[in-house]
Amino acid sequence: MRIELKHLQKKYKGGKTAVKDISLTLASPSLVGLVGPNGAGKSTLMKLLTGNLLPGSGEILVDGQPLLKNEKQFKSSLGYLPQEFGLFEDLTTEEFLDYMAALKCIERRTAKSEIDRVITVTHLEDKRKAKIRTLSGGQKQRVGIAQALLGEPKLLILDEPTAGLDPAERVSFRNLFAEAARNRLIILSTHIIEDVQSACDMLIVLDRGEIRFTGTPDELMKMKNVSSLENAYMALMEGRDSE
Amino acid sequence: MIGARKLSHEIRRLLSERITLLFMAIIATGAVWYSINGSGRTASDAFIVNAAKNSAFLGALLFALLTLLQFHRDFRHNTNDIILTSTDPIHHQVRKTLALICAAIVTSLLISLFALPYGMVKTGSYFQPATFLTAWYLIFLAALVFAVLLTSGFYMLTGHWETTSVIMAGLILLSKLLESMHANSEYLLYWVQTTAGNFSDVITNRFQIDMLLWNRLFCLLVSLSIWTLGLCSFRRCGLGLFSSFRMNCSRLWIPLFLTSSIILSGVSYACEPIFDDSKPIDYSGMIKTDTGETVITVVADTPEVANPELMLTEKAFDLDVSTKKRTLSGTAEYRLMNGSGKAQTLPVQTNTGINIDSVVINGIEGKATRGETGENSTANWRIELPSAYEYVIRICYSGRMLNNNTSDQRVTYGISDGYIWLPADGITPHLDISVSDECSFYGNLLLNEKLEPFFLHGNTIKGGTRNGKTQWQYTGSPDAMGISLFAAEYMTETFEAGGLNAELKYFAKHESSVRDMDAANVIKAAIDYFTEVYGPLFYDKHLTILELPAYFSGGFAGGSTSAVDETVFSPKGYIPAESPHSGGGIDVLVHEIAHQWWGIATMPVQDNTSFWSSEGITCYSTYCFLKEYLGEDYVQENYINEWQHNWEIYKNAFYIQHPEYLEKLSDKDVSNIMGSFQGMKLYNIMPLMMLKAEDALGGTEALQKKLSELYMSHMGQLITYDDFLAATGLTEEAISLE
Repeated sequence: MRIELKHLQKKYKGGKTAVKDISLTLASPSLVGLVGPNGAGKSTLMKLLTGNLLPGSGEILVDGQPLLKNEKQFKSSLGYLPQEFGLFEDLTTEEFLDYMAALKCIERRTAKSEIDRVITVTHLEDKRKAKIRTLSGGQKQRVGIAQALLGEPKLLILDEPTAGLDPAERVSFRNLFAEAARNRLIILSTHIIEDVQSACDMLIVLDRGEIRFTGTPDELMKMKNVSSLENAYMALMEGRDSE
Repeated sequence: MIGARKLSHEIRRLLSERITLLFMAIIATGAVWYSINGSGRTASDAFIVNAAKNSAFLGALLFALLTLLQFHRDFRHNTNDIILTSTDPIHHQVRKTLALICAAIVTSLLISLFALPYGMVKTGSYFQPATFLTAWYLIFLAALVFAVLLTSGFYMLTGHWETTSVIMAGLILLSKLLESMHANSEYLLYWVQTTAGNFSDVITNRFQIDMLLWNRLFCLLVSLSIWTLGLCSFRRCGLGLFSSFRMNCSRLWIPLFLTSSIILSGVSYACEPIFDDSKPIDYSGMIKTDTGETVITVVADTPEVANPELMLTEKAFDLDVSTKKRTLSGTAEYRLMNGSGKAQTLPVQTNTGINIDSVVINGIEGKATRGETGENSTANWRIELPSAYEYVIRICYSGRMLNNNTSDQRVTYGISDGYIWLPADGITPHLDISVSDECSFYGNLLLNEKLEPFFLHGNTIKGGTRNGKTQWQYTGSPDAMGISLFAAEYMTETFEAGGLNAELKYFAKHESSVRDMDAANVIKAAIDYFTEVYGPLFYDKHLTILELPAYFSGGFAGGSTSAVDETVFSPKGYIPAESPHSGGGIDVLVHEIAHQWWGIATMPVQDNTSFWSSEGITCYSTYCFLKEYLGEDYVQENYINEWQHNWEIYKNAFYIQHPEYLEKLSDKDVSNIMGSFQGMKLYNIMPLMMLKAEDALGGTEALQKKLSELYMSHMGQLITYDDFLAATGLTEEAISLE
């Protein structure tokens, strides 16, 4: 899958420009880390990429076609985890995933095994029959990740997927995403630099709606001549107010 | 297949939610409560229809709320962010709506588990599956479906739960308010409980079901229009209302569906097939009551005809009624005299649903031109006649009855497989010309073999069969406008009373009730009593007591027939009545019989100064009979106390105590206010004045003697208040209640 962003711009009603003239190309297989301070435009960019928002100007091409031209096909190859989301609290984990499998048009005969797979990889086996309202915040986050993984989508867009998870779970999911990115495109928005450093092969630093850096984490460290990605990121952000 | 699978998951999801189950449980509990505590004029109303209507209000309210919760929660909790990225947003809104409709269907089915056996047990042999299905599926379920469509439509349209809540609360309460005010002028608009009521236990309810079907069709189309408008406006991709509208409408089926549903809504409103475009009746000089009972108003002069130069000398008809198609077709032949021999215009009146298909005048084809619709479902036609002294005119006509759209929009006339009621101008076209005293009127009627006809005036003899139908031969009087034809499965009981051949014609299904009530003996006793007290009825040797469907609500007397609705024959205590003083039973029966003496044989004429009318003296006569028949206690409780109670209300009414304020109001307001007192004046105050007259004259017998003299001396004539005072020798002051 190849996603091209051409002069993408998004301005909200109040006049705030969330994304300013962004152009870049993302292609699978890759695990792309999208970082930036709060309000940098990460979530807006994610929503633009999932078709939940339309750009004010510019365009997004998916394999050469405008994103919404083949909406149905695009959605069938997309797994999305928003930063904030609600689930149907009266369903069990398994029922919810079954519901999502139906929405994603996963065939009935493969749906069960697919649900088993995502439950296993998100470590929800013991919560399979539990109502979602009884799950903790972290467990609900895992259900969110599980639904995004359903159907092995070619494109995974994850907005702060490890928020609310304990350190061990975070490592586990980081590894899961790295493994999954071997044959698909994963775009991971996060403010946890650690997540990006160890797993991403491409880093995009976004600030005030503009791209401040595109490259590998090593390239950023090299550019800023520091040994950790966190320091490189801090150095990149330093003095940005005066720019 | 994929769509069905997604829908089935959506339904399962919805039905697994606690809030859905809670709302369904509340509605079901309400339905049980309403069923057990129902009341009404018939068993069908009390145990089935009214329960469904009340449940429809509760159900519409809760399903509107449930829909709002479902739609708004997915937005507020960002559930949409996951769902709408995984599926087509428009298809998802459609599935959500359909799932809610399925929940409504499940609720109806669950309620039926109780309501069906309960209704069957309580109504017993009167249970009609069509009534049950109409009540719980056409009224109740449809109200829930409309609530879902309207709420989801308005939510998608406005994008605000607050605005949607206000709109829906307004729509539900407005419908309820209008229904409770009995403002029936636009029955199509009452989308929650509808104007359904007075369902019959003993004959088909086809007429009410017709109204409900059209009401539901119109409401469905309007709801679908609003829902589709909402679907067009569903906010997507962070766009505003107009951009989303443009984007959603790029799917051609959505604007096509919207346009179709809006056009069809308009068409269904404009082409409403039950009521016509009758002019409102001009009530000036007449009396309007708030009682729902018919006030017999005597017209002092013979009504003028539109063309007095023409005279009808003979009228014959051949009428074929199709209960299957619910239409009629016929041929009527008229013989006319034209004194001047000059060309004439023949004024013809038909029911608004009847079309004149062809006209032949003296063997030459003529033409009927339809003019303006008049009052009371009368279509006015004109036929130009060439110069001639005599005419033989043959008119072929056909159509389906239409009903008066003014007043309370009640279906009175129509054809169904179980019941027929046709007005005079629905049986044959009526010529608005002079009628010769020797004019003969006869005809043939072809009718479904299980139905027996009854003409309000005239005689009918059963003939052979033709085209698989029974032929009935009719002879009667052509100048009687109230010649209505009724047909049903009747049972007839004949007996002698007051020197008359009396017959009681009642619906076959009411046989046991009529027997249990000993109705024939009550009627005989009443006729004998009035004959003995006032004098015999001279105008006919026959008197028929005819049973009418519940929807007529009351009774009437016309010709040698006194008609009462079916509730008269319900065993006491069987149906929980809406009001302890709602009338019915023996009282209405005797009242309509008494009208034969006061209203038919003589015509006590209403004026605008006194409370005198045929109603007052008829109520008094009913009271006198029942005092003898059922005893003092009965009439004290059901008559005197009631009359005195209403007299207190009347004399303490603001505008009666302060008539000076009426001067500040418009004529229309004054007319409405004073009109609202007419029922009390006629039915309560005048009878109380008669009681006072009794006291003044020395008792019941003394007054009745005077009334008998009045009756015998005014046979076939008008009786004014002054006539009454002169006959009794009393003054206005002597019987005044002040």
